[in-house]
Amino acid sequence: MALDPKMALTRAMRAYELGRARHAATFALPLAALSVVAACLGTRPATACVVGLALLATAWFLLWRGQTLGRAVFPGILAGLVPLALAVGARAYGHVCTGSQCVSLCIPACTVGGVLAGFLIARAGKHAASRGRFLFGASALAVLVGSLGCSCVGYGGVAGLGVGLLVTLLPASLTPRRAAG
Amino acid sequence: MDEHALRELDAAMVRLADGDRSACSSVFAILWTELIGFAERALGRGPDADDAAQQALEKIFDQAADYDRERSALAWALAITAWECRTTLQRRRRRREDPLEHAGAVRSSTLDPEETAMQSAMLVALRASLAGLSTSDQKTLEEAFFRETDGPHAPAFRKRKERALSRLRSAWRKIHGA
Repeated sequence: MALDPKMALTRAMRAYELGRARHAATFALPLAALSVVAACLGTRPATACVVGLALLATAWFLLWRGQTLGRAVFPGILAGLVPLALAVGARAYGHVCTGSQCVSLCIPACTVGGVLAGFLIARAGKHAASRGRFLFGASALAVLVGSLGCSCVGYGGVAGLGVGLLVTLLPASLTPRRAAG
Repeated sequence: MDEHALRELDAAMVRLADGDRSACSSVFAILWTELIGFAERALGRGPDADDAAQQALEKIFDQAADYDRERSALAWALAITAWECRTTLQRRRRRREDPLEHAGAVRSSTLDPEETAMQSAMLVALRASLAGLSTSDQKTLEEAFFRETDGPHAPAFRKRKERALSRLRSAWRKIHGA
């Protein structure tokens, strides 16, 4: 019996989705190491676990969808490492005491990290075909990676990171796209 | 396939590798006939060729995310199809089966094919037993059954023939038991 091309195409597309899912998992799984490292550097294990799972799921989804979202994964993670590193550094430094009171450096570090991450993402997405998608995907990953360190003072650090990111990304997303090359 | 179609396939494959689902139908439309044709040339027209082409197509789509954009998409697809055809050929060889279309070619022309098969098996067994005898015994038996032997040496020859036959019988028993 001759093969039905419609059936063949359906089966091929199913194979394609499975292949992409596997490919995405291969690249997303090593990100689990980030939450392990964060937990070793002082992040609460439960927080590291929850944020790590969210990071894995987001990275897997973006890689599986591919195109602009897939291309946003690497810059997003790279940008997220900046607030993570700054937050870990701030935690290691401790508190700044000014006579009457002591203040944690975590929130300022996360806000500065968010600004820098936003700057990196905006630069990477300068020539992206679909800039809105790129900025959304990359900033989601940057927030998750940064949260692994910025949860040092609860939601405050994460909020600081989000504000920092918004400060840079909002103007970047409103400016017209430059042509590649 | 012409140059334009090749370039179109390469471009569609790059889009597919990038995650553009809309390129699926373009890649399928260009590749499907090529893969079927290739598999039929390798395996002959039939369900085996269809299966091999289908398997190859699924593998191509499954590995699309890893497609190397420096390579020709058609060459890559045909390499996967060739591999599938080779696997089908090996499977066919292993199960020692042929498609029914070729059954007429191996049909026996005799009325009783079982009898013919048994006779040829006996002949093979006899040849094996004869090969175990000495050259002089073989010559004696040949002369006894295929030439007229008469004259003054006939009694001595009969004796030689008897001895050769008895050795043949024991050789037969040694190989076949009875």
